[in-house]
Amino acid sequence: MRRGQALADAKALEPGLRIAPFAPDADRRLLGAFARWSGRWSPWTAPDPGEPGEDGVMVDISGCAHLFGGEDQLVTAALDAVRGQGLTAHAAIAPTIGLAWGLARFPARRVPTGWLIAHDVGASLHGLPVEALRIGDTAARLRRFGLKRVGDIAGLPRANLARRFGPDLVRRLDQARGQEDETLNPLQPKTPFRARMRFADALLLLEGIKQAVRETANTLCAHLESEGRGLRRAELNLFRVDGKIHLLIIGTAAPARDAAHIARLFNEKLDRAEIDIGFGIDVIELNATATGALSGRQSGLIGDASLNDNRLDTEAFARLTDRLSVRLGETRVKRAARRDSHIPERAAGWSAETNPSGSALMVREASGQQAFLLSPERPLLILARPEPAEAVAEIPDGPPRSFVWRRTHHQVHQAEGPERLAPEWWRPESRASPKTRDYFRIETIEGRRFWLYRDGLYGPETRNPQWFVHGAS
Amino acid sequence: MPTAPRVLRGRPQLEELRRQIQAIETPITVPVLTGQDALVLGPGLHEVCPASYLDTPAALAFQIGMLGHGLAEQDRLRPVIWVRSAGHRAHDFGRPYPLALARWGLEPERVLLVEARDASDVLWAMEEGLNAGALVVGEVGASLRYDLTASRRLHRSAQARSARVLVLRGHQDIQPSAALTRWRLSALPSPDRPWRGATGLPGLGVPRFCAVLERVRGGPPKSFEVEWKNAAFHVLEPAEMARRATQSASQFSRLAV
Repeated sequence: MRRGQALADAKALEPGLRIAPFAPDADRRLLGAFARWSGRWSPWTAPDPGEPGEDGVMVDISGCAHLFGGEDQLVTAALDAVRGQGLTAHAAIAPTIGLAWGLARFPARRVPTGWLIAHDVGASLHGLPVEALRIGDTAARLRRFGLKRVGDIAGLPRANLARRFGPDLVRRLDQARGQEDETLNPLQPKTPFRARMRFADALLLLEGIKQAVRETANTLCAHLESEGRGLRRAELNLFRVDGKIHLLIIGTAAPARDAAHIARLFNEKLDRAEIDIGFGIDVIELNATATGALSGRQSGLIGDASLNDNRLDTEAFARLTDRLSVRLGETRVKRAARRDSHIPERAAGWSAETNPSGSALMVREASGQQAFLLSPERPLLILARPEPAEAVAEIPDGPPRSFVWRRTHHQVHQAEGPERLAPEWWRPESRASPKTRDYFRIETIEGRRFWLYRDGLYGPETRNPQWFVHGAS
Repeated sequence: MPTAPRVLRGRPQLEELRRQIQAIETPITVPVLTGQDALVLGPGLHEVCPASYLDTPAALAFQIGMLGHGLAEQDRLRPVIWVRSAGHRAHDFGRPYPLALARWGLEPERVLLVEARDASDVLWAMEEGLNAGALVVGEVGASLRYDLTASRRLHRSAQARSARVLVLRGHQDIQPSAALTRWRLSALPSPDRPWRGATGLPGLGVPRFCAVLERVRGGPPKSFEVEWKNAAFHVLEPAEMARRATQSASQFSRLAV
């Protein structure tokens, strides 16, 4: 049986054949998950998809081998773990990516242990078949000229090689030799703030995991403090013994560096996520994926209380925001935001973003400014979408005398207006309804207050203006 | 003698427990005040119910005004958690508008709007806010989750942090609760502005409410007519009441509901 064989032929040879449709997307996802899982040996890993059955994962182990007792131990442990998952795998350690790629795919398959370590680039490279250079179809052309090993082409003039077989061959050869730079594009973005703990015995209880999270948070916060940074977003990776990874993400409303607070946010997640611990968790890794500047705070000379008396305690506020949004979902906890617009529904609203760009968030020191008192009178509640109402007005551009909204009749007793708001013609969205709105604040005879507008100026814009209710009280 | 310390340690604990029980058992008496002071709410749970469905916006406005009414200066800067559930009837009137909050004595940057998924999340968020020392506005509506137990929890949390929690209930909701006060709110016509515009209708005066104190612990029910003026509530003296200037103050007394 071989690759590319017709299914009918294969079934004739082996009637009990198990058949699964080719699913390249699922394969790629699995390979990605596998590359993430390989993060237990080095933070720099990348999936390397190839032909079916030739997929690989690249791991940059520079500076990592001694943690496992040397390269031999590292590669043995890695292969054991991979094979423990029921995969067939070969491995190679080499100074260059190209050489490791070739070694793992060709000679490593023939050695009984399944792995190789290249110490001498030249000697290892010259023994490899030309296919090991990652050159695709060019390898077959080389073979036609009798060039079967890399050693055969290594001595040939470069200019001739490039002319006959394309520049790719020379580049790949240089990369394998280490004469041209090739970098690994790591799967995980580089996170400068990271703390991890490994356990000889896997953690089986949630309590133990929480304790470990607290300790990693301590380490991470110490690291953050030395750099004057605070955590904005953090990932917690729980590596299960059998290879699955649980990922928990939290965000904070303001840069935070309080280990107890961070641990509490994760505990909240851990309690609610109902993660399957399985046979245990053996590695815990806490990454700060986003950080913000957070300088140390100096306590006042007389005491903090006197300082905080006339100021909103922003730190406590941010903490409360975090706790609420971790439990309820980030989109459900919002703060007031305003935009530079005079259309009421655009001018102000609620934003779930913890850090909207610029000054959109209404955050200011609670001292002084009375900016919001100067804004025109607006209703306390505003409808997300203005609702049409049947209104009767004495004169076409006057306030309504009565109106029917949601099948209830309201008699107008007092009215103020109009407040005339022109459409924002410079925005493409508003061109759909380019009508001027005349807003009226009205009070019914019962004392209920509403905010109505007439869509369109009577005369120049429309003959039959439509009324809308936009807010109440 | 290993037993001696244990005995010694037990007694203060017992005393502490007795003290706690006593604190729970003593009936909370709220002195029924008159005039302006009657509107100052103590720490704890307070409820506002609209008298009818259409009075819901007025009830909310009253609630927001009451949240900061008569608070000490440092308490005025506490964060405010405004909790509502995503599928609530009060949403029929829309969302709070940040630019209008300042008029009701609430700076928008202090507010954290929480739109919870369901009633239990609403209660959780309110309690969490209280435990963090925030003032809380909750729109529970006609929720079955908001019962005697839930309201007592909220009340205790609020008292522990000497915070206020104001709950907006549905107008038909009659479930008992552990609130200190319950107000039944309806809008009142505001006084006319002395001028008439070109439109022929008088302008809007200061907002007025009829606030019936339906239930108050340790006191009889009472009724107020209040107006919101200069960022504070003012109880209307009978003489000021709408178009009844001829009646003298002593003769006029409104029956409690």
